Amino acid sequence: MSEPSSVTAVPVSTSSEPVAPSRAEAPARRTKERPNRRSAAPWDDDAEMVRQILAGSRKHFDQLYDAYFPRVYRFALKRLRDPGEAEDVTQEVFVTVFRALQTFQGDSSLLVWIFGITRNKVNRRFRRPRPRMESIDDEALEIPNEEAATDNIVDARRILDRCQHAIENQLTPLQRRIFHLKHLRRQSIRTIAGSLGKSEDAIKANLYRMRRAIAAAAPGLEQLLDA
Amino acid sequence: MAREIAKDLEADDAAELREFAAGGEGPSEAAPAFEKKLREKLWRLLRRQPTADAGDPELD
Repeated sequence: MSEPSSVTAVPVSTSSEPVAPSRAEAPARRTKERPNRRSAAPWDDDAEMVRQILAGSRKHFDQLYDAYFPRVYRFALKRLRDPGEAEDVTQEVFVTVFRALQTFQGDSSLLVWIFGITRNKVNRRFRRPRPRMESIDDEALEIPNEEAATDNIVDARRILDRCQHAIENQLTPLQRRIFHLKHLRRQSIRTIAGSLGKSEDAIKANLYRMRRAIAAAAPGLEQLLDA
Repeated sequence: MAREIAKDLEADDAAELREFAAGGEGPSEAAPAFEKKLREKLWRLLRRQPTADAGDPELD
């Protein structure tokens, strides 16, 4: 399966609802004119693929699943860094996709549609508070303070590990340099801009992107820093 | 400034889509047992789903 070479910026729904591609999306119409050019899938026509699946073709179902399972799982795993959570998201994505498959009109590519659902499901995981185990067992409810404190330390370490990983793996060398100057050297944006030969706006934009990347990779960081 | 940020975000979207299309760069594959189990559950969901909003408690 080859990587599409001409993927451009596309509008992706920010809703996690299984919204089928809209006719109002200009890039979607372009995709229909050139069937599946961006999908990198082993079939030519997404709409026909969907029709076959809805008609009960196991072969087509398997093709779609084989083409998208690795993409969804890897995308989720890279961001969530937890195989269990990545599996949960993968299941949520595919259930959403197959439940909404009847609404797919082929106005956009399956690639863009499934990507949008996947990204929204992953983002929802980041926004959702960490579920806490609860029990109706009275003894289980009496958690000693020491254990609670240990839990907090473990949570904090986990968040900081994710933060560190994001800084090391998701930031560009320039962004890491800016991060270092801003947060470790405590330099002003104007000073950083001057020393790196960039505009102040460019430094601000990079700081914004870094915050976004780190917040996405390390949910709970802000609460931890506020505590 | 806002335009620059919007441009950056658009570039982020495109980069993520490219990564998704290429299959991602995850450190490991999913467990084969999970992949197989989910495949069969989804197929059952699809086959017994007369309408788009039919539920499947087993998957919830």
